[in-house]
Amino acid sequence: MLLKTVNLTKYYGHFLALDKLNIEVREGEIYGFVGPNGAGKTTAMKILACLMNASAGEAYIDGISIMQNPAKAKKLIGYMPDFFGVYDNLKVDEYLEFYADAHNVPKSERAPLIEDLLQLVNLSDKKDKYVDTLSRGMKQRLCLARSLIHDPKLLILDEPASGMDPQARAEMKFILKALKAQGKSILISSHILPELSEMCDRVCILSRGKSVVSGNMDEIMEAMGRRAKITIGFLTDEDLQNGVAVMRTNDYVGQMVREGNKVEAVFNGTDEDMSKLIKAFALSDVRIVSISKTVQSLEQIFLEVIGNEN
Amino acid sequence: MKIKLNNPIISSEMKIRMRSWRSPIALLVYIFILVVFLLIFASMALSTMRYGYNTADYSEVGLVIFYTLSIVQFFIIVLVAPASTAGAISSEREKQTLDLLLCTQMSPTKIVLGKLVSSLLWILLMFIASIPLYSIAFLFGGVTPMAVVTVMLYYFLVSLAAGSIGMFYSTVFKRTVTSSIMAYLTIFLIFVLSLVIGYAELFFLSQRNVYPDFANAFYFNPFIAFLGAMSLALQGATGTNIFSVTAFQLKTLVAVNVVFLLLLSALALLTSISRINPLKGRKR
Repeated sequence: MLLKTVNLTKYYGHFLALDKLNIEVREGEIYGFVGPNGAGKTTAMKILACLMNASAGEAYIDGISIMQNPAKAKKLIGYMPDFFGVYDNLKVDEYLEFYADAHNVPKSERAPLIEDLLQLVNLSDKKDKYVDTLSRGMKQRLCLARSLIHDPKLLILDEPASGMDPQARAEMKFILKALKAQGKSILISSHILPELSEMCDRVCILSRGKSVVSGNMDEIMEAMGRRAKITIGFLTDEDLQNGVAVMRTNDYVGQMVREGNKVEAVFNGTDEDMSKLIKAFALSDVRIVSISKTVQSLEQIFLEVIGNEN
Repeated sequence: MKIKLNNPIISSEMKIRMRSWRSPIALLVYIFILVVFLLIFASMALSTMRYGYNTADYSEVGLVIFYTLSIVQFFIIVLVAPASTAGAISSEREKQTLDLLLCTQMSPTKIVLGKLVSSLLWILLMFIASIPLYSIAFLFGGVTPMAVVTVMLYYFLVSLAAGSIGMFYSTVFKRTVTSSIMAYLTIFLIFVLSLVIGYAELFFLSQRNVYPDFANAFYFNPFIAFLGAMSLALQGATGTNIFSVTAFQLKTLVAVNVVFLLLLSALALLTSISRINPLKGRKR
């Protein structure tokens, strides 16, 4: 386990920003933090980047306590906040050289390292350009290169794709996957679950400082229930009344809404449970004219989880 | 054990500063102001010599040039030093780069000292640029190399104190403008309050028919102590000092002021370091 937090808690005055957060990030894994604004993602990341004291709890990186030994821990962490933080009057290579020096990277290793990093983030041709001449996406990639300058084991990326156009997002995703392939562990945050679900091995949904659910996407779907929406059309009003009675006896059918001769309902069961429901209609002589099932998207689940929490 | 004196902030700050067109312009303006004052006061001294009583002693002109340069430079430094550090940390906050610096292996102490040293180096460059002007004073005589060294050391001390005050406010306020205003206000208060309190002290003592050479508050005024230090350094050459007090009293004035400025700098710097440390109260 590369990163482990134990009941990590943060209060801002009386406001509880992080409530006993427990996460574990494995080596070579991309772990996503997802939650709405104010969920505690940035607070958690700042504590892990040694930029803020926790009110309680512990965090370990590669077995080193971040609380007890931040100087050692910082060697293993590369942090990229949700803003650029660049010196416009420095050239691209000078900017990286400055951070290499700040991280005590030996002088002899700096030039080839900078070359490699610029190649990785596709900025080799911008090496001699001033930072203020770079586009937003390029600056974001330069910041990623900066966070990698001391070859950290764990990258903490706070909303790295915010404000980027689709192409820049795709490029960023590609680079992160390449880093994962190199064995880097990445802790990444976003307020858009589908965006993370594509590249993260595991995800933790945060709301009001609490971990609501965590795991890989299948585990999250399982934990939230494999929710689907079913819409059933009945031939007559009598069929509808009988059908509703049948549905009420079924454990997997949740809230129902009537619309004319149709009923819309939440269905938590599997495909087998669905076939049992259809059979129950047949046994009760309920005449059905149409039936459809729509599985909820990740975004819908996320919004529902956040909605329930709030 | 290998001690690492390298500080990346100093090299990058100097690089950024010297790249800007403002730096050579500022240096030119600075030298221009010194030259203007030098010409005014030197010509006044020369005309006094020509038409006055003292027709043979050119060393008087040398001393006038020395005092003019030193005093004008003193006030320019008092104005420049806080301005160059008042934005040191606040500008990092404005650019959102402070967190990134704190994530590196650089400690808050190294960051604060790096910022301070790079500002002091700029002021040092100003000193060096003004040295040729001092040579004019030597041409007329009356000035000792020791006096120039004393003046330079005092400049360094005042730059350190004024710079540290600017640094402190740059860690307190998020905006550079606010921290600059507060730094100037504090320095103004140190200069003016010590004078006002000193004169009030002398006034109340005179009411009781006590006439001390010096008010206690004057010991804390950097300009009075600077004049005292110059006077002390020139005493050998001139035989007198501008305060008409004993050498011991001058030495005490300078010593107290030096300790005061060093303590003020240390307090401001230690508070600045503590203020930017995100992990205060935790072992780093």
